[in-house]
Amino acid sequence: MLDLQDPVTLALIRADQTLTPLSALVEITHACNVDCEHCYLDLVPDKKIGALSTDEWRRILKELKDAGGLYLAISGGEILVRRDWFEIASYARSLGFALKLYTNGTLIDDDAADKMASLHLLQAEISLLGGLPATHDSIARRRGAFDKTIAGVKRLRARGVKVILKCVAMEKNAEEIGLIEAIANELGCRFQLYVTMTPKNNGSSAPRDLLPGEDALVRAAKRVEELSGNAQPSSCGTLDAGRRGEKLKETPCAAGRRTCHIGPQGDLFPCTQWVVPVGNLREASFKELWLKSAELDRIRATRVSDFPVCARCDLLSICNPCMALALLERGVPDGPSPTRCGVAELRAKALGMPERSAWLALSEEEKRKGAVVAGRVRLPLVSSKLPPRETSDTDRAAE
Amino acid sequence: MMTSMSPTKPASRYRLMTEEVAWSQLEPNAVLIQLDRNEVHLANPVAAAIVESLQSGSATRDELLERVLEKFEVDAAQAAIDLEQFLGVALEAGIIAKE
Repeated sequence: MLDLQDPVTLALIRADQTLTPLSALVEITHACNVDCEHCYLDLVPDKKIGALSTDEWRRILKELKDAGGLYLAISGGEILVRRDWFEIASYARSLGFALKLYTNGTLIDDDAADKMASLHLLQAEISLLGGLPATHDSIARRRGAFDKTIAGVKRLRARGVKVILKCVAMEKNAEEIGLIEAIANELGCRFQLYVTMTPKNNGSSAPRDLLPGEDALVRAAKRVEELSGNAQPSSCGTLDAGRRGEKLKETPCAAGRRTCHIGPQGDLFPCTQWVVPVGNLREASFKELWLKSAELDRIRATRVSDFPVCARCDLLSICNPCMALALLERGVPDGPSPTRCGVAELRAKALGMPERSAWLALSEEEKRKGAVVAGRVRLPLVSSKLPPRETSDTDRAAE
Repeated sequence: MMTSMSPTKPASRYRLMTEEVAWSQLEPNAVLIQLDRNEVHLANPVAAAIVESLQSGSATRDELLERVLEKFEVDAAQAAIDLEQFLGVALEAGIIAKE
């Protein structure tokens, strides 16, 4: 139920009504000093992709602020590999943004910690992928990463910076989730656990192979449910999850309505998961793209009832269909996405619900009718996030 | 003989605590976040106009009242009450400071 006394809910409703990009995530780099197995990005040096300069980021952030931006998550890659990360972040702060910084923590020395503390962050979000150094280092594929991450977290906590330690349940760390949570508690951090393993932006579903077995995944999903009582309102979810009749009339999420994503080259996306840009901020202003994009208009006009399979799914009450994941996984954004359906089934099991996902219950033949190319992407438009690829045998077989 | 007069005390000025507060105009409202406490406030249109004024620098109570009266067709006495109420709440919440 909506709490109409809650200022956050009221602000989200107002932003939804006025199409104000209240919340944005900017990836200032796709370069990183670690190489996490499950990362959805193809990591590349900034020079190679022609990443935005400091001045270009300043202009774009000002335009985003003028459009009503409030919450700004600055992410990478690893943000600290950019020498101007603090210049960008402090400029955003001076504009009045509430900042979240996403980092792996390994490069946070005393100087970086002092700078982060001066920003009065809403929070720094740092991945802790194992409770034991060997596990974390194995997933991050960098020896010594665990020790550096913990040292970085301690530096932030010593300066009073709020830190969230994040972990996605994987085969390698499934038995250490309790330990990771204990470390978070000991360091005075909030712990956030995920059971969603998103495909890579290039369409590869390889990260899914890193998930643990079902028993461990359901255990993790139960813990996610227990922890979600402390969660902040989702920036991408619908405002009123729960009542089926009302949900059908709603937009599936906030993508392109009150949230957006900007990539390191200035591509504007409706959300972080969306792989097809609506335009580039080197070529047009934020206002121009945000207000005049036909693609955004189409996304904004979409309702859950437009998704035939989702609309009849028994799990709709505990699921927010994700257009972006559907686009990435099935080539069409009109839900469902196998990843999201899998997470909905996990939630159902964690909550003791017997129902199954309508999509996952379909036969392979029925799914194929929905233009499915398992694990591959068929996009109606060209994406700058996706490298050009040749037609594969899989595609030819599907055709 | 000269008589001494007590100097007039300068009026207090109010400023937005920009280092610790995030804000956005969400017409006709404004959203304010006190970052260290993670407290979110949704300002009504009058309060939003005051916040907008304070974004460009500090102001006295009279200057703020003048801006409210410029922007809204309201009774001056009522506007003064609303302003007083907002300043009290915003000071308490750490959103503005008195200089």
